[in-house]
Amino acid sequence: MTAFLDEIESHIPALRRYARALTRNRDQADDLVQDCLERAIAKKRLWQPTGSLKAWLFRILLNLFRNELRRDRVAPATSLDDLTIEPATPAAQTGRVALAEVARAMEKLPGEQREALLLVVLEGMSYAEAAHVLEIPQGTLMSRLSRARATLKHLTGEGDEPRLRTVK
Amino acid sequence: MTLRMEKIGENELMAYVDGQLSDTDRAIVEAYLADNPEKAEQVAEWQRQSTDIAALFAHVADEPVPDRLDPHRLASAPKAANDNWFAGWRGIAAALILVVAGSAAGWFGNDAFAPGQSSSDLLIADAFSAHELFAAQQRHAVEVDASERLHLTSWLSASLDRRLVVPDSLPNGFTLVGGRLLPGRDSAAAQLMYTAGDRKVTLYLTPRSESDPLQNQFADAGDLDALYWANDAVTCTIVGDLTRVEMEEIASEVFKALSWRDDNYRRG
Repeated sequence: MTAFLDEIESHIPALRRYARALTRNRDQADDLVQDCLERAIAKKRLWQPTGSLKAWLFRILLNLFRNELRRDRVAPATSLDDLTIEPATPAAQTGRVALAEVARAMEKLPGEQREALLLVVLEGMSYAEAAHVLEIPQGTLMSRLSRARATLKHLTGEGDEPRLRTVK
Repeated sequence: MTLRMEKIGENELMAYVDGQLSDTDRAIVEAYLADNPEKAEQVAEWQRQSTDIAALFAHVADEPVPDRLDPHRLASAPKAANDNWFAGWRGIAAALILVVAGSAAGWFGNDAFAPGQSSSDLLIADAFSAHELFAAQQRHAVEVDASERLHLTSWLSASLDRRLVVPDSLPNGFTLVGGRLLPGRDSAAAQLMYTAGDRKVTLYLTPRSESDPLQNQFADAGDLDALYWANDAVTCTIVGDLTRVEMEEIASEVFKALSWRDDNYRRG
């Protein structure tokens, strides 16, 4: 049991990060992670040691999050105030697009696209691992990623504005 | 299997951006991008998206993890009381009933408590004081209104570092007015207020410390009654002008709700 708990513990920073990105609210995110951990501990018997514990934990977290959305019909308790204080590192970007704008665009993505994009981009999962978490075929995952990226581009105004192109 | 340059399409480019390719394939895609500036621009845009998303949220993983998310601690928490807890409680309570016959001052003045008195006595006294003070308020009875119950729940849970459940109603027609945060003895305390007509019931919640007894304790200060209860995580003192039957019905509901580890009880 201790080894199992230690392994769970090693995934908590990533679970918190993913939960925070889904909810954009610290307390709500940690409530979600706590729920997830309690479920995982209670259901330890159901976990096949052959599978990835990490994927299993993320799947539990996602199911709880979706249930919560369905049950409470809470639009994630977002405010841009949360966001302006959160980025601890200045964005390593050109300054074209304010981070807040990206955050707003992320919010507008359909849930399934946002879930997929965050697993790959933020959590650095392989396509196979992310598809496993979401219980969808890898092709479906890739089409969600592609749509998510296109929507983001559109919402942040990237599609319309002429931009300087690097001339070689 | 190595990627062939003429096979490179959107999926391959996205896989490149998302770090899904082998070193060999990555070099092939880079060579392709050098010859296809349009595609290179698209790839750069996707990379910026990834960087922006990381800038928004990546730091969360570096934050210290709150104690309440320690899996060892979660695993060792005792199983929640089952639904029959109250039946068991009655027997104990009979022996523990504490009737305070003194004046109200005896309860509300902290000086009345000699050192060495049980911490539950102090918590009950605090709960009485908080009830007296805020139940009398008309406009400012609560800090956060019942209409923001979800916010109230997460705010108080975070402030007490415990997962709290805020029932929106209690037996005997009491409905949630809202709640507030208060200074406690060693930590923050929370008060939840319920009303039925002009009657008020408050719940006074604190994180449980080692010295807080797990036995229930009943107290009576003239027109107000209190029932103290604790589980491994929190203490809860119910205060109101209630009959014994009403108190038991309310307590049964509240304590079941606070025993959130019980799989039979989920929020909502």
